[in-house]
Amino acid sequence: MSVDEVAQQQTSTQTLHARAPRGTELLRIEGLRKYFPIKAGLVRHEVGQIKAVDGVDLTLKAGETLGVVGESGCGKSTMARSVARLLDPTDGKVTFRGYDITNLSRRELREFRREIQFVFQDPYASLNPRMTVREIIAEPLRVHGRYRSGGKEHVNDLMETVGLKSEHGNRFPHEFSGGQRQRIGVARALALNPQMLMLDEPVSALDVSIQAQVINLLGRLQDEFDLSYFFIAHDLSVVRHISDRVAVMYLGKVMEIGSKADIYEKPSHPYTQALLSAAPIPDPATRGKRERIVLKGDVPSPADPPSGCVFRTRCWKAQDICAEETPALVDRGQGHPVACHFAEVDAKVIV
Amino acid sequence: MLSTRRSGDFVPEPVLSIRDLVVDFATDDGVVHAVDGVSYDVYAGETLGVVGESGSGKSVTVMSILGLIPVPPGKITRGEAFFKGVDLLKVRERELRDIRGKDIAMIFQDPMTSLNPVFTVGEQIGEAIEVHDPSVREERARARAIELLQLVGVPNAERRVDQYPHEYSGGMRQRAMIAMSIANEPSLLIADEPTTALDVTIQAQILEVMKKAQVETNAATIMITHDLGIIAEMADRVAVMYAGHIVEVGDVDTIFHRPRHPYTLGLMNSLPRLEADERWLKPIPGQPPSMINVPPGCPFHPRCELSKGREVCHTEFPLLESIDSSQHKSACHFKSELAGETSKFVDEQAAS
Repeated sequence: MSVDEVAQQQTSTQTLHARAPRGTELLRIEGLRKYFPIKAGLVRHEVGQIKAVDGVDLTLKAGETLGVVGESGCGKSTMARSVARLLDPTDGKVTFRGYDITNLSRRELREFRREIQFVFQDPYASLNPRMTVREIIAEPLRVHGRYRSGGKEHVNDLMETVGLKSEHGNRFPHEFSGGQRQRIGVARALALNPQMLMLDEPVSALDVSIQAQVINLLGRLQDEFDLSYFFIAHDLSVVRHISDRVAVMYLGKVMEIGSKADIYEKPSHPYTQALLSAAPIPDPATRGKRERIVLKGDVPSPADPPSGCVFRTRCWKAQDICAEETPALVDRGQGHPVACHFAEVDAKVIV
Repeated sequence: MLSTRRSGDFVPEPVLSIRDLVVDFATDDGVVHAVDGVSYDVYAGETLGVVGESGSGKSVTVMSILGLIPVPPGKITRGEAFFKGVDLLKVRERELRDIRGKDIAMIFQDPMTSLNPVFTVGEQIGEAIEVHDPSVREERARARAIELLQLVGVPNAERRVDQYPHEYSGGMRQRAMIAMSIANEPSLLIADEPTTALDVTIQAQILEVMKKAQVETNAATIMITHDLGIIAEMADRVAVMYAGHIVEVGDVDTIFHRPRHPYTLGLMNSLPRLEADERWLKPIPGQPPSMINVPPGCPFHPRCELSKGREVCHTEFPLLESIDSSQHKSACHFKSELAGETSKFVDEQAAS
C-alpha cells in the first residue's frame, strides 16, 4: 500500500466514524438486488433465482427512523442484511456517510460494522445461552479491542441505560423474561456507540404490555444517543408510531414511500391501501364501518415474480399495461413516490 | 347454568359451561397454577373472545377440558366443564375422543403441524368425516370435502382436494383446517390464535372465512388471541385473562368502551395507534408475574397504579364481581374508581 493510499483510507475511516450531523444523509441504497440461487440435481446446478430484493433505492438521514413494512417474504430482512453486508448483495451500491461500502475488504468491513448494529426479532435465539449478560454485552467491545480500557464500567452503564440492573450482569439469558432479553439485545447493539441500528421486528415476539416498554426505550435511546433507525416490522400501528418515514415493500420492491403522514393519511398504492384496511383496530365501534379491501390469493413466488407490476396478480385495478410495464417509483401527483400506474388517494381507505 | 343474558322469555342454555377450573403443572422449580379458578359460558351462535398475554392460561383452559394437556406434569385439580350436559372432565378418554373433532372442533395457530404431510387435504377432511360417521362412503366424503373447501374459499377445490399440505400456502392451509374443523358441523368451535402465523392481508381473509363458518354451523365459538384488534373485530363477548384468572368479562362494546379492570385498560392504552400519532406509549410497568410465585392478594397489584399504598390489594384476592349490569364483571377491589374511564381508541361520542 502506498503512502497515498494509506492516507486516503485513514481519511475515509475518519469520515465513516465521525457522527453525521442530524438531518444530513447517513445511508444511501441504490439499485440494491439480492438474488439467491435455486439449486437442483446431483451436481447442484443453478436452475433459477429467488429475487428476494429486486432493485431498491432508499436513503436514511441521521437521526431519522425509516420504517419498512411488508408481509413475510417481501425482502425487508434480506435488504437490511444486504445493506450491512451480512449478505453480499447481487447488485447495487450502498454508501454510508458518503463512503461506498459495497466493495469493502474484510478489514474495512469490520470498521464499518461498528456503525451499524442489529437487533433481531427473537431475543431467545439471538443471545448465546452459555454466556452471561455481561459477556454478551461485552463481546462487541472485545471483538473490536475496546474492552480493556474501561469496558467493565461501560457494560454497567449500558445495562442501566436500557433499564436492566447491573447487578444482574452475571445471570444467563434464560433467567430473564422476553422483554428483558430484548433489552439485553439492545444494550449489546449500543456497545460500540453505532450511528445506526437495524431493528428487525424487535418487538414482534413480545407481549403487548412489554412491547410498549421496548418501543419507548428505543425512542428514548434515539434522542439520547442521536441514533438513526432502520425499523422493520409487519405491524402497521407500531411502524406508524416509531417512524418518520415509511417504505412499503412487496415482493422485493418498494411500492410506496413517504413521510408517515403520506403513507397513513394519503396511501396511494393499492397494496398500501389493502394493508391499512386489513389491519384490525381495537375498537368494536369501527366494526363494519371501515372499508375493508380483502385481497384475493397469495403472494406469488419470488422465484417467478409476475411480469410488469409484481402486485398486479392481486390488484383490483390491474389493466393490460400492468403486465407489460413495470411502474417506476415516482411521484404521480400524490406528493410522494408510488410505484403504480393508477396511483390515487382513496378517501375511503383513510383509517 | 341458566342465564338471563338476553331479554325475553327464551333463556338459552350455554353450549359449554366451565366452572371453577384449576389446572396445575409440576415443574422442577415448583407448582405452576396455570389456570386458577376460571369459569365461563359460551352460547350457540356467539363468539367469546378470550384475550391475555402469554402464560395467562387462556389456551391451557381449553386444552385441559379437551384432555389435551400432558398428565403428568399437568393436573386438573378442580372444576367442571359441562358440554351439552356432560362433564368433560369426568368422561372417559374414549368418549372424549368421540366428542373432539365431531361436536367440538379446534383450529390451531400453525396449520402445518396440525395437518398430516403424507395424506392429501381431501383424504384428511374425508377421514375427519368418516371417523365420526362410518356410514359415509368415500366418494360422498370426497364430494363433501370439495364442498367444504369451496365454502372456505380454496380456489379450484376439485383439483386442490387431491393436493398435499405442502402444496398449499399458509393461508390456504388455515382454510383447509377450518374446512376440516366444520366438516362435522360442530356445536363448539375453538380457535387458538388462528391467524397469528399469517400476514395481515391473509389474516383478513381467514377472519372472513371464520365468520362464514360460524354462520354456516351456528357453533358457539371461543376465539383465543393476544390481539385486541381481532377481539374487537370478531367477539360478541370478551373474557380478559391475567395470571391464570379471568379479571374482566363482558360484552365487547362494554369491555372496550367502559373497561373496569386496570389491566384491561392498561393493555388497550399500551397499544400504538394506527390512525393517530403519539410521542410516547403508555406501557404497563413491570413484568408479568412468575406463575410459581404469584403475588399475594391481587396478582396484578405489583403493576397497578390503583393498588399504590392500598393494603387490600396486597392481601386480599379480588373476586370477579358484577358491576352495573349482571353481565359485566371485574376482579378489582377498586373497580368503581374506573367509572368513566375509556380506552384511548374510543372517542367520547362513541362511548356514550
